[in-house]
Amino acid sequence: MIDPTRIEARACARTYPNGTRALHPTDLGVEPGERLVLLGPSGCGKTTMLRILSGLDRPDPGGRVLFGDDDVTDRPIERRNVGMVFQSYALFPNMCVAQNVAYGLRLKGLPRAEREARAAHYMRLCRIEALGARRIDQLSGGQRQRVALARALAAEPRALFLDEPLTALDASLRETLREEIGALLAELSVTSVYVTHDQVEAMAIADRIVVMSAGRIEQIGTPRDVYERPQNLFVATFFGETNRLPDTDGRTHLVRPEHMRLVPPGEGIAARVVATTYLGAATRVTLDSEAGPMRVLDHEARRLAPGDAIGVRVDESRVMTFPTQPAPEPRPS
Amino acid sequence: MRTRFDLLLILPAGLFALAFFVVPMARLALVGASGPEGLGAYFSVVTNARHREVMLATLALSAAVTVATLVLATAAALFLARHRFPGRGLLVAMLTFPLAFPGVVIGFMIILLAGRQGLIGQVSDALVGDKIVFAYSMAGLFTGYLYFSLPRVLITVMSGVETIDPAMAEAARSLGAKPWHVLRDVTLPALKPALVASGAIAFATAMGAFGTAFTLATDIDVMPMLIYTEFTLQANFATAGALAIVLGLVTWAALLVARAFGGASVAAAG
Amino acid sequence: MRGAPLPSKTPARRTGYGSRLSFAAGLALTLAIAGFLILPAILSMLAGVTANYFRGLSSGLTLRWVGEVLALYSDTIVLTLGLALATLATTLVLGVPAAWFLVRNPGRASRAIEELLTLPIAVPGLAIALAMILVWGGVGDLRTSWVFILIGHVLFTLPFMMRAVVANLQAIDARTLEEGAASLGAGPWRRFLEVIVPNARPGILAGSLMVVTLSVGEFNLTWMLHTPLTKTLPVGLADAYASMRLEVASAYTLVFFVMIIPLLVAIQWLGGLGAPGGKARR
Repeated sequence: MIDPTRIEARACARTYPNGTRALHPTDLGVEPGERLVLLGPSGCGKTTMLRILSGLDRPDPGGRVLFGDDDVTDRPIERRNVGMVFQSYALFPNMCVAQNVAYGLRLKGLPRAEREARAAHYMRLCRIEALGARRIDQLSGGQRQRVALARALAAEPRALFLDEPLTALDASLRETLREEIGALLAELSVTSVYVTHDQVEAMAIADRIVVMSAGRIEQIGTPRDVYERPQNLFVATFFGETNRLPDTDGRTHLVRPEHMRLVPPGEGIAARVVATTYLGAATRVTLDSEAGPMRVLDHEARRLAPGDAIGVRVDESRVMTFPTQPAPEPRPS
Repeated sequence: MRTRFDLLLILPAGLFALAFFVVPMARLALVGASGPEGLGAYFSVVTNARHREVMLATLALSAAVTVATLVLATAAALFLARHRFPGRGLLVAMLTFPLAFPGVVIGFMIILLAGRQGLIGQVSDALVGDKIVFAYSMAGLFTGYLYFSLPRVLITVMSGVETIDPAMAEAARSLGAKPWHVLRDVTLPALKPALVASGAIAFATAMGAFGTAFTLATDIDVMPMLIYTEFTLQANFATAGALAIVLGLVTWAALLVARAFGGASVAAAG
Repeated sequence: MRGAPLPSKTPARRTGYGSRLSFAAGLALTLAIAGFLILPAILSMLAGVTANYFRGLSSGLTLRWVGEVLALYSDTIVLTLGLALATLATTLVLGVPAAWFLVRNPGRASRAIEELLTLPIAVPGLAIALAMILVWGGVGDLRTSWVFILIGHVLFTLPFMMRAVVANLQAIDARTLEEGAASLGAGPWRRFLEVIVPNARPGILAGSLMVVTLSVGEFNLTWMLHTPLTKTLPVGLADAYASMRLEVASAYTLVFFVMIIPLLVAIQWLGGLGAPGGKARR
């Protein structure tokens, strides 16, 4: 079956012909069977890293890519035995679903019976066993991405690469599929690298998250690590919601909405309600406070109206403090 | 809901087409059957040995031009779509420059290239002392039709290539596809509509075109020249009429194929 | 919220894995094709201004041949331009209303009418010319008039005008536009002239360029329809290719290029040949 492989990038960088650096020299290891998510805003280098690891793009000279002990840097993707899932699905419209799923096995020269058995197995895993004879244009977006996943898995790759696989789908479908994909990848224990710009998706899928920005890695850690112990201002503000308290001595203080509490007027920081959004289990309250604009979650079903005076209390032990200016370049990565 | 206004919109064009196209073509069809062979004239491309030979030669020439154009244009279009390099824009402009040159002018281009005073002859004369001249023959006609069809097929295929999601080739490669597999399983299937459509247009043009052949030599045995000589030199109106109708049916059929596959991509080919 | 999936990234990215050999082979082939297409055109332009083509450029450059062409063939140039403008005017009058009809009345009947009007570009010009001569050749002085050629050119170019305007009207959703105008109380003629025609201007322009270009270069029909007194430029070219020295033929071709190349550039600049599913006539 699928044999989990350790994947490693050593000093991988990528420079465009015009001199812009899409990725600064970066080391990154993916453990066997791990689900690693590359997360960051567009242009942060996450897709570049994915394309270098998978073999679609070659790193600048000096960079190496290793699959286990095997240096695959000089091998293009077709000689790496990997699987790839794209945002645009990239299914072959001239083949039916079953032919798409079996395509990689056909290229490997597997006998027909084995091909069909294996394709059927992975179609079952991806819950598309009933769609085998369908043409691609007869499928919904969610079905298409299941086919793409089955096609990539059927070749039993050493590693699976997913490039924003859910971005083209609508919100409710995204939620179902991300849970299913996360569970399936864990069950198959295939080494996978998953690119997304959506932090909720990242938290649902990842064993570890790699937060990237401007061609560099900002932080690597479990979802909990990254959320609760962000290493710098960028990670803290990009990953999850924060409120900014007044700076002191060149230091910025951030606090998450759930670590703030509304208190009666006169206590805590004085504030005025700007707007409220009823979320069911809680109400999101937008405030204009002495310390600046803030967003707080209220779980106590207060009935607040714009203009009401209120106080805010901050859990001092959860305030995150960083140097105000992010460290200037150049930095070691 | 059709109104008198609608009628007035279409009436001028409709009457024009009726008077100068439908009625004359119908008359031509009748004249075609008015010769000594009667309706048999319509089957002369089968029954008459010379007509059959010319029809087969024209079909073979057109098929050869179509295949050669498709192969060369596809190779160049794929190259241009996949690479960005300085001078690429100029190269594309050069490749599409002869678009809509009329056939007579293309005939002259072929004479300058492969005629008695042509470039190829001069070069071969200087190199090996033998003057290569092929303009005034089937080979010259083949070259002329290639010249005519390359730019338009190239444009159609290039715009076809641009609509292919590059992730498709990347997906195939991730599954182990070599460049040749990607071409066979992804690129060519995706280009099929553009290839069939522009190929059919190239074929129809080569079947029915007249100007290039007329410029190169009046004794090239292709259908349009046969019809022309039957009509003007032999004054054989019935034969010329029947052959013209048969030829028209062949080119029309080819263009129907183009439209069935093409839509917008055919439109781009003009 | 999300629409159709976007193709990922740019099509032509440097991956670093492409082979130099395949790049070189592709470039060589593409350059060879470009050379094949462009060399003869350059040769003909040079030949038209070379004193003696046999001896080459060293014999000197001259405008003598161009002068000779203008003296011998200026009437063909005038007739060709006049014909092109008359063809344009006629296709505008016939084609723009027909296009609006086709867009206003989608359905099987419209498709049949469109097919009929487009048929003249699918049938070889030779056949159409024979048919026209059979029916109209003996009617009055039509056979010897330039109007005879005009009719042929209109038959052949009308589909190009019509389809360019139809494409334009469909792209701007002209039927909704018309309904808007109707709701304001405009009658059908006012709607056509004041709303539809102004908004179809890009299509009309594209169609016009196409019509003029094709008319200027038309040979298939014109050769059969012309008389010694109604020779167009392409007919004159065929004469010159058959009977004049190479330099004169080249100079004449040069004059033709000067007329047609600005039109071709304008068409390309407007975004490709927005033409119907047929071949351009040779």
